[in-house]
Amino acid sequence: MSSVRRYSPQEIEELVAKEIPPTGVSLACRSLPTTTTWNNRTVTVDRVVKTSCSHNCYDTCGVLCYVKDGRLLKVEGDPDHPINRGRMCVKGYTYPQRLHSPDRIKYPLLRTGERGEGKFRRLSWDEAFDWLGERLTALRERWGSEALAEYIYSGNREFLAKQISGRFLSLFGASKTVGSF
Amino acid sequence: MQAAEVWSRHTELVIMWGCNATGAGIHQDVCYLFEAMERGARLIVVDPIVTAIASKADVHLRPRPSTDAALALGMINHIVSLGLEDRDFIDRYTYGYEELQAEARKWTLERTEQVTGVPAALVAQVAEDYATHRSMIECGYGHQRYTNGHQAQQAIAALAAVCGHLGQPGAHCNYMEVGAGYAGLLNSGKVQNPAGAQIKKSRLINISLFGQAMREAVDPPIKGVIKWRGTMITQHQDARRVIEAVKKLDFLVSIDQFPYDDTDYSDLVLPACTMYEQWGVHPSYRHQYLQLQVPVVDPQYESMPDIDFWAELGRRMGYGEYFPKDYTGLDWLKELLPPDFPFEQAMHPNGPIRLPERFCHPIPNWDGKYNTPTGKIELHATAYDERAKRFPGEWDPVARYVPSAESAEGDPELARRYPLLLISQHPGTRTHDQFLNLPYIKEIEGPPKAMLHPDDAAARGIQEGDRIRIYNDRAESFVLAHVTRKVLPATMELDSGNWIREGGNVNQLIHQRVAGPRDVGHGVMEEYDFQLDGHTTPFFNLLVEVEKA
Repeated sequence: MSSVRRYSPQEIEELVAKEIPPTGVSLACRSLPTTTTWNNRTVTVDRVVKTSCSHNCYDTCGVLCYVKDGRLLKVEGDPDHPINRGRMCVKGYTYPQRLHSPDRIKYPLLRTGERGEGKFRRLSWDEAFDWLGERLTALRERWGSEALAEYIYSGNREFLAKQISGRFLSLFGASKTVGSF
Repeated sequence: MQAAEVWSRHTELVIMWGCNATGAGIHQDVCYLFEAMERGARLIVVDPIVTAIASKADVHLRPRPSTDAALALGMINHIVSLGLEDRDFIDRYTYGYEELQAEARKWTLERTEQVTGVPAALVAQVAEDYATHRSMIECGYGHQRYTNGHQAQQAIAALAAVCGHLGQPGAHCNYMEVGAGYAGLLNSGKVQNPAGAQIKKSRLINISLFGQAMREAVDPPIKGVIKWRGTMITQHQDARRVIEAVKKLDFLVSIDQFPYDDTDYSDLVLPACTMYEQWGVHPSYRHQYLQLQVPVVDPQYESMPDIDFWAELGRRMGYGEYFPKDYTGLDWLKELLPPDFPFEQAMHPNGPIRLPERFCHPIPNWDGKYNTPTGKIELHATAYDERAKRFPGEWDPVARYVPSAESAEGDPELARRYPLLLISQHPGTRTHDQFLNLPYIKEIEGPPKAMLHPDDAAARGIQEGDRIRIYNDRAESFVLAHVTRKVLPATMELDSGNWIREGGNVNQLIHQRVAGPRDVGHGVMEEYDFQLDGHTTPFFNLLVEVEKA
């Protein structure tokens, strides 16, 4: 027989009410800061934006983003978020370096070399959409719409944009990618 | 998912099972866990590798990789043999207990030790402690990365059920539930299939077999792929064959932030925004709080928010009425979230909010209700019986141990040529292959290293820091050797996510196959059930040999 006492449903309801914050209302209790320390200096920033991290990690931390001169200066954990409670992981802290990296893909690129060579030329977005539109139309005529498939997973696990791609792919009639790793 | 804020305050004992908490989810499974330990809770870690969290454990069980189901069944049998099971709970809330017990009875402590390598005395001690304390199990993905992963998870859940450690504050079995995002919070169907549009049902492609589907799908073949928010070449199994398939496409489009393996093979590469340059919503799959994502800075360079890309493509392809030009991310969010969602409360400068309990209760199953065909915890999964009538596969309804593919026990012939089983962890410095290229991360990580047991290293004349070649019939990877007892003999570890073009990639060594009960052939399906078909990818069913390079 089990030696562990079981809580009654009523005790559990009381416990949740006592120990867990209410639903549907903002849990923010501090006002957003206007300054921060950066390289041992106190810096007044243009704004602090409260958001969250969607990098396929179930902590989905609350984040404060310090913005100055249009750039992401620094990120910190949101102290009012009940899970990360002001903390961040090392990946989170690197984000200004990532977002402003000079190595980012800066504009649309069209392959000029062999596949795998990594040789490209710059396109405008207009040209890129034209290129893709022509190929999608040709693909549908030659093979049928299910010859198109989307490959998407959790690189940014955020859900909103996936629904918009889903709307496009439904309308187009593409094959649907499902399952999980 | 029982909330960490709840279980950490009430539990007396935590088993972290296949969960390298120091690699991901650190705020719940490290910070809250440590608070529980400071209160006096004991920590048991089940992991073949001495992870950082294992080094903090009171007891560390190190089963041979992929034998977790045997370990759980051995614990169940020992608990029942001592009469420590929760009879009342079993009678009221479970279905199929007799069948489970018949299976568990085969797992004496001696046999459990023989198969798992965990000493019988330790199995017995942990089983007794687990049964007699208010106990949590926190499951990671580790034990699920094998072809028998679903059976392991079923056996672990059965262990919790037999002891009645479910639905109580501080006593539950948490696993990777999909969370509020799929529990009705998001109205995905409405956004994806807009009212009034003619939408025909399309075939489905199983992502675990995407490479194979690209090679083998017919009527029609896959000829065009738009790839975004995911890594097809670096992160897929058997990368060489994925590359072969990509070369046969009419076109591959990549929407990415950095150039790497995938963009090298793409025909069109488009600059993607990061998560701080666009709107978004990400309900956690392990907690109950939500902070909406708002754009923090303008899109950098010529990068485009993902929503804008798909909407513009839709307009150009003639679906303008479904992609209004003036729609912002917030407008789309209002279509996706429930009509009564408190936007102002959950969005900058406010938030986060706790989500309504109908989407994620902090103590799931507290009311003894289970969402199964019988309304009980199904130790015999009746839904599997139904599935078995319609689809081929291994629909064994009761947890049991089946040796996994490509392991010493599952494929002795292959193991003679490639005797080392290679596990790949997710390092805390990366999200799979992301962040690897950042100077901060490179400085912390240094060059890629693989862990190798001293006995295996000595037998091959390999010393700490040597450059080694890890290989099998599929590929080879070159890294530095880290000779350490953190891995078991005949086992190696190489972190996932190293780019092929930089060296040290592990996934190219892995056979392309799925885990989970259903056999889905080459990956093209008409119907798929996310929960029941249960596909993951057996990334750890990987045999290799190693030599000094």
